[in-house]
Amino acid sequence: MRNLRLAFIPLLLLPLLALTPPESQGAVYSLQAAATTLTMPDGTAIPMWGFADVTPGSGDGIVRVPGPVLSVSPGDTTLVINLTNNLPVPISIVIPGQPVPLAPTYFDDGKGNRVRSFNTEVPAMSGPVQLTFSGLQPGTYLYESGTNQGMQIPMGLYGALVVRPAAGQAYNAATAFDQEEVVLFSEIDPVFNAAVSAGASTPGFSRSSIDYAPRYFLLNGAAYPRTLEISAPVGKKTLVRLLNAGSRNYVPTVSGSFMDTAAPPNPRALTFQVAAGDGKLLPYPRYESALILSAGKTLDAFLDLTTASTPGYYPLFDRSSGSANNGSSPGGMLTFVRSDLPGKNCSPLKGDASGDGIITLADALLALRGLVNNTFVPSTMDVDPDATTGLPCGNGVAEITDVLLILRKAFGMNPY
Amino acid sequence: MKLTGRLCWILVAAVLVALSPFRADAHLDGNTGNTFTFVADSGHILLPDGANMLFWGFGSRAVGEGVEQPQYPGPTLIVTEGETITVNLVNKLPEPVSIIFPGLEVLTRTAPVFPVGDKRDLVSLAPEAAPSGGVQTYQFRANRPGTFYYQSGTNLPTQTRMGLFGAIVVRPKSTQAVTAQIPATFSCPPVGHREGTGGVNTITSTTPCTKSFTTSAYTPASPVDASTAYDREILYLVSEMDPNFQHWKEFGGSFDQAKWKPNYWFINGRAAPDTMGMPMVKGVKATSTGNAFLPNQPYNCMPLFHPGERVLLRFINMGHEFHPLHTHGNHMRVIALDGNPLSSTPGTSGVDLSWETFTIGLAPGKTMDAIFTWTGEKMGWDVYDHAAAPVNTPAPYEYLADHAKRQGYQPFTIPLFGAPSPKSPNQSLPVILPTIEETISGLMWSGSPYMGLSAPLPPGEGGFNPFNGYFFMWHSHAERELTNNNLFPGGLLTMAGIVPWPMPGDAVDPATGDNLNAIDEIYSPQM
Repeated sequence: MRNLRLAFIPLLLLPLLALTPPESQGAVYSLQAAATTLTMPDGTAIPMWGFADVTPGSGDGIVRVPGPVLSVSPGDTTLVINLTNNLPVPISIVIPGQPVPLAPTYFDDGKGNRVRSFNTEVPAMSGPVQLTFSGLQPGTYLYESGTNQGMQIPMGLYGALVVRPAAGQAYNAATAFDQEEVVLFSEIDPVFNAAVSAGASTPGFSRSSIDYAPRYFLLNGAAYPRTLEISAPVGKKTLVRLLNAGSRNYVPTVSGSFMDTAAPPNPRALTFQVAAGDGKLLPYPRYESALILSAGKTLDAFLDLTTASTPGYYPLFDRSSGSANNGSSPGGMLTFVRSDLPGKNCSPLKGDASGDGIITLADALLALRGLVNNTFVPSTMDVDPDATTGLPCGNGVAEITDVLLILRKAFGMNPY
Repeated sequence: MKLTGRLCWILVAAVLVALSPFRADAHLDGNTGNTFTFVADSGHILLPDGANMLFWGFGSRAVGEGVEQPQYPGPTLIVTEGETITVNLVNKLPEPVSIIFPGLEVLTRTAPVFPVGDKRDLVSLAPEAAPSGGVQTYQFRANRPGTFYYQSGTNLPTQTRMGLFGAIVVRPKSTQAVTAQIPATFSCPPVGHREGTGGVNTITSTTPCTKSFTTSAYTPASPVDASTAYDREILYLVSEMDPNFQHWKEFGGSFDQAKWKPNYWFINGRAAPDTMGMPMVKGVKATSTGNAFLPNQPYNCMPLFHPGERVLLRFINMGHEFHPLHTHGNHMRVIALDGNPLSSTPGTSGVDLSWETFTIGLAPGKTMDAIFTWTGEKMGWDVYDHAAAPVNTPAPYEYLADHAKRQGYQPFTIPLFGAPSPKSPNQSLPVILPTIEETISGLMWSGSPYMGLSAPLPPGEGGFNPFNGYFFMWHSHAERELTNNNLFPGGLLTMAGIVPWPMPGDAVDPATGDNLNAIDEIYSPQM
């Protein structure tokens, strides 16, 4: 039993860790397009089409929606994708906004130049086919299927591409960052996807999207409460790369404030500093609390916490139609910007020593045992509340007060 | 023509004193101070098609006052830069309520409370007030001027649709006057000419034409930076409701939340034409002219201003859909987003990033500030009909190049008793208009196309334009949003009225002696 619990810890600690885009620094990827299933927090299983990274040595082979975050080495401008297609329909890849020449594929029906795929096609159940994208410009881009987009994109064939001119820079030295996060907005209509999944193998299958009505709304493929946190540490400038692969417009909104290091400390509202859109750098940044993330849009926005002196756990949510799971709230496009003090975990969810997602008496006992056996884990057990914000950053000392705080939390007394 | 017009106007005015449909305020209605008590409760709002719907809203109660009705939208808080503002929430609703203040510097906790650390149990994004009488206190420092909002941080998709939101206006603490030069293409009003709500702005020189503003939306970056200065301000807070959702909350049954689709739209809590009705604001003026028909919807949206005045539009979208808001009559200049002035270095003199547009795409959860002004510039003809001899003195801010100009295009005048309309020398084809007994006039038609003039109208028509000004529709350009549950007109629609400047010799209100063109006489000073 103990071994099982310990085994859980690393896996379930993942939600507590900052989201960093899993990516290969190389410019050659092997991707596989295949069917998969996404399960929503309410248990609904939805058929999807996604991309798996099967790059030898670095890919994990798991079919993902959205697909893996792709990138090239800083300064590199060529991306090669060896694409294998395990779906019953032809696919292709386009990267809107990148000035890359396209090689459209036409219907072979003698009726003239009707385009079937905007770019080089990989026929059904075939591959790999080498796709080369050169002359890449820096910025944040969507890669998506260029075939029957009205069907294939809602099914899940999309992902993010990040191109950096130099390490730690978005476009130039003025847009340097300490930390970066990718947040991809997307949506799912379960009825539409079920129909496409069931019928796609039938030759000549088509389905109108006239009744397209998304019920699930995702950030990086997850709906709240499964959304991963965005890390924007105190003292750092964080670049948030926002993308929208859906067909509705969303409005990412941040709420909250921190105390800054000016004396006397002044509160500062969390505000996005929008530096670029669609891979194009603005001549001057715009300051906004709510961003217009239209369908197909990408935005590069900074959360500048370089003068912050207090930690935070700030809501980031869509203010339009995307913050529910099939009508049930809280859900959908809701996550939190986690701003920790250096070297500390200040999340209000802290105290879950067992890593099972809920604080119970068992966690208090684990903390007590940790004290006694000298196996105290500060990142999950050191929960002394920060004086200004009340967040459980901890005081760096393993002591009985931590155990008592976790105990009070387990009884719903909300000490932090 | 003019004399007839003015005489007619006096008679009409005498009848209209009681109704006074346009003694409506164009300044900001709301609550001032630095401590507010909000009561979250349910009530009903009334729609112009006769419907009523349940809503949840905040009502504000000052010390010594009794319990107030909740209002839709919640009270507009009007505060000053630098102050610390306290909001005490009392929750009478059957579920928890909290308040978040995006874009504002909140001093109380801005992290959610997770009972037992389980993400699935999240209820509120900020500390909440428990149902049926719970209380909670919030505090923020109004660190920078601008247009902001507050809304519930609990069960957002439901509570914001029910009406738990409101506006926050932060005024700059600097009372430094800002001067601007009026281009010489316009007629300069005389020195000492009072302009703006309460006459707070004035002309200080005519050589060159210089105007001094005491009211700015944002802190002037330098004594000559007048880009956010204004004469009058209007709150334009839009929201929506799906009647099926509101009925489900009131009567139960079932409702598929993913199919929420609004059929009512509101500006400042009212659907057109109630947007143009009278406001009801308690305690703002000594003589409160309330609107008993809309007790839970105290704010209106009826912009009235003079030619040349700068109107600050504070747009806020508290709905869940995008709205393309359009100002007929002229472009507006967008000067700020979410309370951040459009400058490369906000707070100091930087590169001007503002832009002109005639339709803004207002996203849910966004605020936008824009400046609108109208002078009749470059219409190609004299809007005041100064052609009659002797040629009149140009009106304040009149576009001088068109003064006394009538050639090229003569606006139609409806002839009396079958006489054909006169043909202008430059018209190649005569325009023969129907006679007055064969026409139906628009609601705001004064009988004359000229600013400040009226002409005879058929019996029973007219009366909606007592100052004979121009009206421009300010509305959502998504046509479906101009309805109340499928009935047109309705929804996101109002009329901006351009009122001629008071001139010596104008008619006055027999009861009060007020010059009926003087909006300033009617409005209380800016708070």
